[in-house]
Amino acid sequence: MKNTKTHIILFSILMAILWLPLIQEQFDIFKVKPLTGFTEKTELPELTYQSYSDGKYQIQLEKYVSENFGFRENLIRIYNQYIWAFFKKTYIHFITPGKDNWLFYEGAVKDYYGTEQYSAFSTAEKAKDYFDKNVEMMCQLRNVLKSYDIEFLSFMAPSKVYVYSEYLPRRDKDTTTINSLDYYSNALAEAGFPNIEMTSWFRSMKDTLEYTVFPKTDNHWQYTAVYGYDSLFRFMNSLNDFGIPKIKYGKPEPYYVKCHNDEASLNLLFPIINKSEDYKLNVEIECDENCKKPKVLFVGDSFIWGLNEQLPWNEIMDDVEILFYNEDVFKGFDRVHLYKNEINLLRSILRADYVVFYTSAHQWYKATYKFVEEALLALCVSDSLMQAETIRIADSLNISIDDARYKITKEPYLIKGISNVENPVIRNSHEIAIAQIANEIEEDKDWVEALKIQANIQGKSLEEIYKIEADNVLNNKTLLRDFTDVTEEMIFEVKVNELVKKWRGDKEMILFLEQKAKEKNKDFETVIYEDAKWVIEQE
Amino acid sequence: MVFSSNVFLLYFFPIFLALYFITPKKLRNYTLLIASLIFYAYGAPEFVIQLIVSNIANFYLVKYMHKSEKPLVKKILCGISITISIGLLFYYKYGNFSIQNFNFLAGLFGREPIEWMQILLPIGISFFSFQSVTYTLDTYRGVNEPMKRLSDYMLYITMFPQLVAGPIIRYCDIADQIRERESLMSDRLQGFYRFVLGLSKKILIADVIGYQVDKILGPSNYDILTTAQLNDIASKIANLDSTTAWIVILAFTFQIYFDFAGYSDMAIGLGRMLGFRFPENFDNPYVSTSISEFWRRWHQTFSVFIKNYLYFPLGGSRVKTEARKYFNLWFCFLMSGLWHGAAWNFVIYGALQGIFICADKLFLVKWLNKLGRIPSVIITFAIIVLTRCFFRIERIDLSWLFIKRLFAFDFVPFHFSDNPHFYTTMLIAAFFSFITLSKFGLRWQEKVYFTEYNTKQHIIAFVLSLFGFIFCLGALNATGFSPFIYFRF
Repeated sequence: MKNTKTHIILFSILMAILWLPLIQEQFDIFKVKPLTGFTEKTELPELTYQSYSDGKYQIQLEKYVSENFGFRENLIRIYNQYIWAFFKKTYIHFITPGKDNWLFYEGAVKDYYGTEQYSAFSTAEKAKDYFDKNVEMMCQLRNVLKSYDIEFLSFMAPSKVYVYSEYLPRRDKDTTTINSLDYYSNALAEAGFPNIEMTSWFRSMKDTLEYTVFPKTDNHWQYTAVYGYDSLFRFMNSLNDFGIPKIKYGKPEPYYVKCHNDEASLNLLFPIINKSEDYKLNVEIECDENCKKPKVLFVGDSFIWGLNEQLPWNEIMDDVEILFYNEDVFKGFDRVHLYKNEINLLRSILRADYVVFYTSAHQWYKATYKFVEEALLALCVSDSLMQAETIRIADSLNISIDDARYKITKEPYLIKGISNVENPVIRNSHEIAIAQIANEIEEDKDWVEALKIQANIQGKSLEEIYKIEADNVLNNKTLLRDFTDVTEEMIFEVKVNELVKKWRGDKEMILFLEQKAKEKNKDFETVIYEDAKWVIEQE
Repeated sequence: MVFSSNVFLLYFFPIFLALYFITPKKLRNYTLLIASLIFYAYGAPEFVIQLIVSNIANFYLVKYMHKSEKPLVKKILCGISITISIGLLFYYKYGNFSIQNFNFLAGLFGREPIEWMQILLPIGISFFSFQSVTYTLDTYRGVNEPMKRLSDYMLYITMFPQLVAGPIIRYCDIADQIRERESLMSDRLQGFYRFVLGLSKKILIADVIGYQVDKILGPSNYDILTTAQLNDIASKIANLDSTTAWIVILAFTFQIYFDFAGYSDMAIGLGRMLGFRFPENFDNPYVSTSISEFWRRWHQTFSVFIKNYLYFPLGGSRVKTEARKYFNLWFCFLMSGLWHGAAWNFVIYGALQGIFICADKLFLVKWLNKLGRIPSVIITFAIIVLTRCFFRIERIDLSWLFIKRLFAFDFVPFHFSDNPHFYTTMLIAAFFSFITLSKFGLRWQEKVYFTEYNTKQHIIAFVLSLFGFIFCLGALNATGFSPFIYFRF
């Protein structure tokens, strides 16, 4: 057979198409809509003899190519659309499609069917023991906090799997496990611990509501968050008549959204629902002359974001701090992101008028993400006692000091004075006094500014400086605030550093600066500091 | 490097094709050789030098063997050449296994075990060792002249399309093509269609099915697992209901076919793009009416190799006693089993195949013929499925446990809606596995695989292949990456 014109044309097209991803990767000719999700991409690995011979180069290169090749996003969307359209399937491991295009979290579905617990507990008995101990510790922490006029309560946000279980995919229910939501609800009620359980309420209300409690293609509540938080703030108020501002709201009104978060993470070509609707309530905050805005420390999961998305939260609260899964910290109404080790837990707790543990129903088997254990240790155990008890526990259990320290963080009950009493008899008095003074210092803006400069001069963290200053107050020593050798440059530097820190916690800002660094061919650190300096200079 | 990897599909493939086709015809073998060495060196950096050195040694040994006129010298050189090829294969593939078993026996007799470093298996060694054996023996037997140029010999052994998982190409089948071949545009195109067909079999069928198999039986190579992971697999198997157990082993039966046949299609397709005609490796094995027929249809180039280079030298069927004939048959299949992996499960797998082959010769084929075609296919397929338990589950105790679950008869209701993607893919796999039972299927297969396309057919196949290629790239990147099962053999 001879080469015909058609063969030549087809083969030329083939070669062009084979080369197209490489060309797109190198020159970025066509604009491609990025995929939703984690965007940090692997760098092109450096080829060295070592990296090549041990195979690391090859692994990294495969990873690099798979994350960077041209038109990757389109190709993935095409395949995702195919498996979605034909099989209602997704490769996003945390999302499970239900009936009639409803989307659920896989962890929540497993919790509903009783299989999630096995990731944490091997038997139902072990789960029960753990839950009972946790309820006991929650009650103890409540008693400890009561002595500082702080209310500790819990809020069980609704879970879509329990409210709309009729749309769940079919699976066999494991009847050998216990349901953490029901178990905790009953146990907390029996122990007299203040708790709001929203799932049952929404489940009973869902047929009377004009719109669904949850969007079909998202797992977080939208307009219904207002009902939930209204209940929460009323409940908080009922505990101590604090005078929290009241929430007034009207009827839900629909508005168009392009795509919900969970649906977006499926990275499909076409939307699941042609016109996704969300609903918003017109909210007004009522605050008369007797009302008082509380400082609230929230510990829990992503359901908290309904609070600032659906409500003017700064009109309800005086200050807010969020311990997200008790790992990341979001401070203030600007949600400045910090890591757990950057804050002083004791100060965060003592600063609050309310400590609210809130989490959605399906996450309850994880208890309080170890917050209660940490809080009890911080409030009750001084450094010296901790040291002595660690040695004692290590000796008695015949384990190393490090193992004993780790064990205590898991089981604070091992420390004498915390265990088996309603209200622990011991207190971390000195640290508490320091923390309380530090919190008072923090209320004084000028004092804080002076301490920031001192932190910069001494190369210490602000938290350390607060501690030193609080100690100075407690022992009548000369205060750091009163040092006068402060220059304009020092203040400028502090402000720049602060702004840089703030930006580092802002994902959008980071992306913007990364782009800018790329465009200007400078490294990221140079750009972030240059921009921060420019902003402060403008002020 | 793996054909179904991004580095191959997006970097190596387009760059190599462009370079190959802009190279003048006379120099194309060099381009292909360099590309093949890069291809191998990329995945097995520690073995590439050894591959080159052993090939050079073999080339000159065979050259001198051919030149020599003394039969004894010829014999000695031939023996040395084969010893190098098979010796390396034995050392790398069976070194660990031999010492492990030796140490086990030593332990039984209260002797100290031998200390040794775990030997890594060079990728593709089972395939290229066999090819170098065919080169030596075909030249020794006078079937072909040896290669004149070292580069041509190196190319025969290391040619990347078939280097790591076959087809095992006998020297006599390709010698002329290496020296001279035509590269038509229509071949390039049809080669690409075949390549995409193989890629689709691998990514859209084998990997989808394999994902579910691995969920229960763990990864296909148990050597890399910890005791805890093995215990986890054991507990999963012990708790299997019979429905799931049958689905899993059936799924694996389809997975291994589409995985390996997919690779062979890709190799044959790539070869055709470059102007080569590689032998076929599969011929609808699951429509076989007996186990003997199955082995004529499954991994055909391997069966041919075993027949020519093991079964015949043992005496084949021209032996004095019937017992010896059956022993030869059985032994060949035992060796085939061991070739798949240095582990007792593969020995049992091979031995079982050998037993069924002997049973075929003795009575089974006659008996199956009486039953008719469809029942024979079903019974043969059932035997294949059952023996696959020993192939897939690399620990004999777990294989037995699995077989017990198959016959525990604790069937539970089956729900298609639990995993429609998997079940649909299984149905597609079954459809294409058995379609050639019908004349219509055979006709279509002939048209798709073996006919020269006319212009209209080219355009349709081109569009479908491009779509398939794009689709496979999407699937590969949406679901992650998996290597071919036969790469480790």
